[in-house]
Amino acid sequence: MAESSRIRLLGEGWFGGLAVQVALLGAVLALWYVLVVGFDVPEWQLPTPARIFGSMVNDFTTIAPHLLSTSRNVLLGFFISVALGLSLAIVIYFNAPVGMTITPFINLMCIIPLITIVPLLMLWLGFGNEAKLIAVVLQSFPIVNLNAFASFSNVDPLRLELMQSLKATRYQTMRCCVLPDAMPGIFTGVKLAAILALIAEVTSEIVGGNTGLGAQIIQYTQYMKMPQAFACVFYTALFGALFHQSLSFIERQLVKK
Amino acid sequence: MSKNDFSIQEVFGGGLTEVAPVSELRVDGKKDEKLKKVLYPSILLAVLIVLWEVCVLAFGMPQTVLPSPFSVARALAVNFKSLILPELIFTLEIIAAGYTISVLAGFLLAALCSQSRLLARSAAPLAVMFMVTPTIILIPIFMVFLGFSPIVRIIVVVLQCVPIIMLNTLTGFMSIEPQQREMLAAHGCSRRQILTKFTIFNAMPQIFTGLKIGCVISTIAALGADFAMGKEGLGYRIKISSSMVAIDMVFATIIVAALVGIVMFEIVSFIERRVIVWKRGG
Amino acid sequence: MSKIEMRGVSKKFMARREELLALCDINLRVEEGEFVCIVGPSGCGKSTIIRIIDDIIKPTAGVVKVDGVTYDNSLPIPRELVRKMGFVFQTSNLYPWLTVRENICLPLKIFGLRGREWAEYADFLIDRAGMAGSADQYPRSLSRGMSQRAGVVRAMVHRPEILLMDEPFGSLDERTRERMNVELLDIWRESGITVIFITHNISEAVLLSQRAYIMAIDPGRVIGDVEIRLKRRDLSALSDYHFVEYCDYINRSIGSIGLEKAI
Repeated sequence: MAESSRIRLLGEGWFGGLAVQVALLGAVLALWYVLVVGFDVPEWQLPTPARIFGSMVNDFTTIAPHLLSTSRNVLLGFFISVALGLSLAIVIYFNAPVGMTITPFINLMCIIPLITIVPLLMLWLGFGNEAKLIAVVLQSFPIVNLNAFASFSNVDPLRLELMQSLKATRYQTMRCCVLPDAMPGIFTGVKLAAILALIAEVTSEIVGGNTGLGAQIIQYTQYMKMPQAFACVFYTALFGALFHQSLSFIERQLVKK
Repeated sequence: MSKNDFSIQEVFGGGLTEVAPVSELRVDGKKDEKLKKVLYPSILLAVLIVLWEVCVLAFGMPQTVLPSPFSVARALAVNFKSLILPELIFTLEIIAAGYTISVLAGFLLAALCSQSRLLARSAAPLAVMFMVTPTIILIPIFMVFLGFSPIVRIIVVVLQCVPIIMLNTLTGFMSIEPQQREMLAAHGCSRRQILTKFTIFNAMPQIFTGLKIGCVISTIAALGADFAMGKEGLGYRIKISSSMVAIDMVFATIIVAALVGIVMFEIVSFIERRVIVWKRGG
Repeated sequence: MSKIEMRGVSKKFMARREELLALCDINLRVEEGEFVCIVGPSGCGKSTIIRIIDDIIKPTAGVVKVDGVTYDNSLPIPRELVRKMGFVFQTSNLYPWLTVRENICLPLKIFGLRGREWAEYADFLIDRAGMAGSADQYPRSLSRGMSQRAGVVRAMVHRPEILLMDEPFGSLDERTRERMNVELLDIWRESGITVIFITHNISEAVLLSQRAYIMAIDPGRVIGDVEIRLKRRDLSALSDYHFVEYCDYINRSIGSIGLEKAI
């Protein structure tokens, strides 16, 4: 399967990737501006990027608590998912009967759309952060677990033999051999989990509650405050992009191959 | 060791793999293993359902908080035709349309991008941007222009799904090792021949990984769109049942939605098994 | 008492519902300080034998005895015994995420051998192997020969008494392999270590070992052993008349199996 070609694909190195993204973004925004002004689109339909950026700055104090709420839920849920998914994967790896019992359920949780549970959770727990957090964790941790376990199982047997020839303990084997070898695969799952976490959080906000960027977008569009609505959209996209780039950065540090 | 961005190791959908690290444990007692792999989870499932029923009875849970398994089954049977089926068909249509468009667009874009490194370098970050943004947030805005049209839902599904399929397919296409390329050139293959036959074959596992994730993502996006737009779809049925506190219906519809996801995934997995006949050994 | 003994060892593998008899009734013994080769065609189970000695694989039948301590299918090897053994793999098997030095010192970490003497000994070995310059680099920057060297150094860093080597020089070119053979003999003479060396290369076996076990395939079994007495053990020995005789003898032993009746 792909090795080096994959990394080059998304821009050489951190700076290269970021530069390309920024340039592209600039191009898209410029086009947007031209179209809006050229076709004389009214602001309540499609504001210009300039107006949106203006709103992002001017209305920041109003939007900030919602940005915070969304980010907090996503990041907290994400970290819980990663911790839970990884530790469970380690347990399953060393304990075959446990693995045989729960792996089908985790596979299932990866496949079914768990956001369908959100209205139910909100009925039981109200519109607060608890329901949203649970939704995020439920949607994210299975994929971390699945990928981690698959990566553990795909460790080069020869590398494991080295550990066996030294009669390393399970802990030593996991720490010195399995985890480092599995890192790329683990990060694949982690990045997917990040995406799912944000989707789950925003969906929960849209289903119910008044806090969070998703809820705000609905509010703003109801009152036809389009620049503010777009500002929230941009903030969400920005958060998603930063989140993803940070994970890629961490991955580059941890995966030294 | 595969390094696949935005993709899952091919074991996703391949079921359980051997747990014991020692290579030789893999080879003993295969028949026993197969039975256990079915038996253990089934036992857990049975235990969970029994526990559910017991909890409801023992704690005297009102049907409005936690319905018993029986009442869920009954709600499903009674209301399927009238309440669930029309929404099911609607959501299925959205998912089918969105997924198909995503697959075609994804393949097309990937094929285009694989022709030129520069194009790939430019398009990929754009795709990543769409992938990391939950497109459901665009729904209120699209609704300003397009109202309650189902097109909004399809657009949202497509926008969420295309990047993943495209990136995985592109990774697959670009994954020919230089030695393989040399070998083919040495045998006198023209560039076109290399591209079509070998590249596609080589890319198959990665392509299917993308297709499988795309399944999951499009289902999630479609149901999320149901939540956001209301009026139709399985997500709408869930939302409205929960606002009426008809929890047995909520459970029933969730199960139906889950089945949609499962069936779709299994179809793709089935096709994968037919196409990729050279499955790697564990 | 021999340093290493194998008595009646057999190994069956399950491959697609079929039983594969990889090893049949293996009896070996290696004295302390001896350099013994196991030579035979590919697939005869030589690698399985040293893995059974190192307890990476469990025998289906038979026992292994090292320094008087027995272990077999049911008895695991005691940890102190594992520390006395060093294993060299066919491909250097260095971990790409560790530097060369970290790779080499990995056994020290696993065995819990802290303290300056160990670190200094590791440095000494690294110097001796001519790897001081690349010790802090990552394995991907090493040539094959250097990688293999690192593998051997890693196997020796914890001062084992026994060295188990699984065709370590098989993937190297002729020149490098000959050089490594001579270096290995130097190490052996200096340290008095017991060596079991697996190879399918008959001239390598004759050059290195004092005694060679000859194996046949299907099922994997020992068909004989030969004591190799050579006056000189360096590259000039390759053209020695006796050297050629030994090689010929081993060659014929392996080759004539088809004509013998199976026992």
